[in-house]
Amino acid sequence: MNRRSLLGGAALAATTALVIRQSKASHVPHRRARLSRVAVLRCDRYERAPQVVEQGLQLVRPSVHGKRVLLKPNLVEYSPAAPINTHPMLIASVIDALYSLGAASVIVAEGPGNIRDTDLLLDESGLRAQLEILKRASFVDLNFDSVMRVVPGTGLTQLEEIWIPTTVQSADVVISMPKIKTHHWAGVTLSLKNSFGILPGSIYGWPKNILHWQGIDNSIVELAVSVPIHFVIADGIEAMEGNGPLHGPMRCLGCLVFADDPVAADATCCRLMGIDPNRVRYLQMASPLGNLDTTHIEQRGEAVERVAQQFELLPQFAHLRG
Amino acid sequence: MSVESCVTIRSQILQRLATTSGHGIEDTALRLLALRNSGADPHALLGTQHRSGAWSALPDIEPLSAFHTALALLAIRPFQTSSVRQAAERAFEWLSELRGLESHWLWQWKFRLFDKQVRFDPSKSGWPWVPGTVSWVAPTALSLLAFRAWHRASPRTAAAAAMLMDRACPQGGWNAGNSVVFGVNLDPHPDFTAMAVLALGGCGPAYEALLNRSLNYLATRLEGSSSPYSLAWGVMALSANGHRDAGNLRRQLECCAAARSAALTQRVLALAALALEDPPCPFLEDPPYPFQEAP
Repeated sequence: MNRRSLLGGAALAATTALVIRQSKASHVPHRRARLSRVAVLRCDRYERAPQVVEQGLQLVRPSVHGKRVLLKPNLVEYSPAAPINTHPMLIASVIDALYSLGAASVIVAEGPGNIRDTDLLLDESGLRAQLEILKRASFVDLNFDSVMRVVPGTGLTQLEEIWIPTTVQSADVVISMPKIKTHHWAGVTLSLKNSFGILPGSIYGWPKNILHWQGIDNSIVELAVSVPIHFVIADGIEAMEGNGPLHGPMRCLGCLVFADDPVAADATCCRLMGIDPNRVRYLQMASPLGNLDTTHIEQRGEAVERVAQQFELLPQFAHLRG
Repeated sequence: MSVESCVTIRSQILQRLATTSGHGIEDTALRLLALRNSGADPHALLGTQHRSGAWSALPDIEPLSAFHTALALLAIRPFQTSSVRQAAERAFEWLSELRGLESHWLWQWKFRLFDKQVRFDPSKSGWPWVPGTVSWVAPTALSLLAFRAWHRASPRTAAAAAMLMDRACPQGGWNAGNSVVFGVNLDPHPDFTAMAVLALGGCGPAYEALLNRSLNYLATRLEGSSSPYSLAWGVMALSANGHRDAGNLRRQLECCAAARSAALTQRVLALAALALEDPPCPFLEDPPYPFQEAP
């Protein structure tokens, strides 16, 4: 080992210490409710989504009457062979159900993290076709939306400001619709990680690399505080295991997860994947925002253990196994 | 579609561009370039330049952006007034100072020893989207194009070209900038591929094999596509390199731009107008200004 390597090692150690200190000094506000509602409902194919979504929304009862609702699906890139994106038929079912519950308007909004051509993605994923059939929900490309300045409050990142799309800021209710997947950097990608798609690529670039340099877990929690998610409808009909979020094999989990708390939703999804949510770093950090512990989750629908499967994990995430 | 109707579509697009304004710097820059022969004035774009010399995605916000700075440089080049030349001078100074984080020996050390899941050579560095991150394909390709378009010699350009070569997908083409992650070959994307092809085109035999694979990828990938944004980038890349499928893709773009024109944003309209020029605007003069020979 030469002098340059030693110096490098010392600098890295100092940076790591600084990051740890920063992380300890952070402030994540307490927003946890006494009890969170989560419903797990079996659904073996997307054709059954309309009935199951209606049931799920009855169990979780989101307050959407007269409100402007924003659906944030997970739309990353298209591959005919891989279950990467929230399924368009599920999104369509949710739009219909929300209008039935009296929503004033429903907007589908996403800012894909790898792709600038959202039009191409809308065509190839089938989402445009679904929205055209419905004729009552528009799509907003968050990568190119107008923006509003938000000052981050947690101290978890070095960002002095975050630019958030106006469409998201002006929604009364934000519903995160993640695809249940493992993730090769974060362990899992669920409702909270799904918020990365909110940041405008036109300002931060493709991919939204600035979030990675601030620490993925830190950025997930920072965004969870800056842009609260009110409800979650997670697509676990066809999920992804292993090398997610793009290249893992499909895992037929056969369920949808509904929740009024994104932390409780992600914790439940982890349990469904055979993962201990207490070992997922971003969930530990986000615990003031919602309920991780099953004793504070009012579980409806199916019992988690009856639906849960052991998802394949990359070796570096073997420690997450529940 | 007849020749007359194609001309009409481009005229309609130009008319819309001339009577509406855009949302951010990408809209403004591409609109200026598309309308450069129709009395467009660069001063609105010059007025949004940050005091550092850079541009960002929207006026008066940070982070500053290499992608938008390079795009603005390409857009103001045809005007060549003294204020344009001064603005360009400051922008090139800013670009010359900005490097991807991987160019620092400390991060090179980290990437070589620890972060090895993404296959790339950290010694080959281009431009990041925004300061404080690593180099990516689009800002590097547009910066390289800007240096070439303005005939600027820079020690950064050969390194940037090497970085683009390094980040190409094994099957040809480019995505945002990760070609192999966790041992898996990632797919290229049409727009990033077209930007890199335009940036590297005409620079010698060292690039030819990769450029040919990438052009063939573009032609195949966009066959049947109905997205004017990717088609426009594809037409410009294929035409600039004399690819046999450029004409077919151009006709496809004309049809799609006509069918979807009401829903298209300024940046897509402007790109379509540029791609429907005859010959399609390749950003560079013919013959293009090269940079230092390939490593």
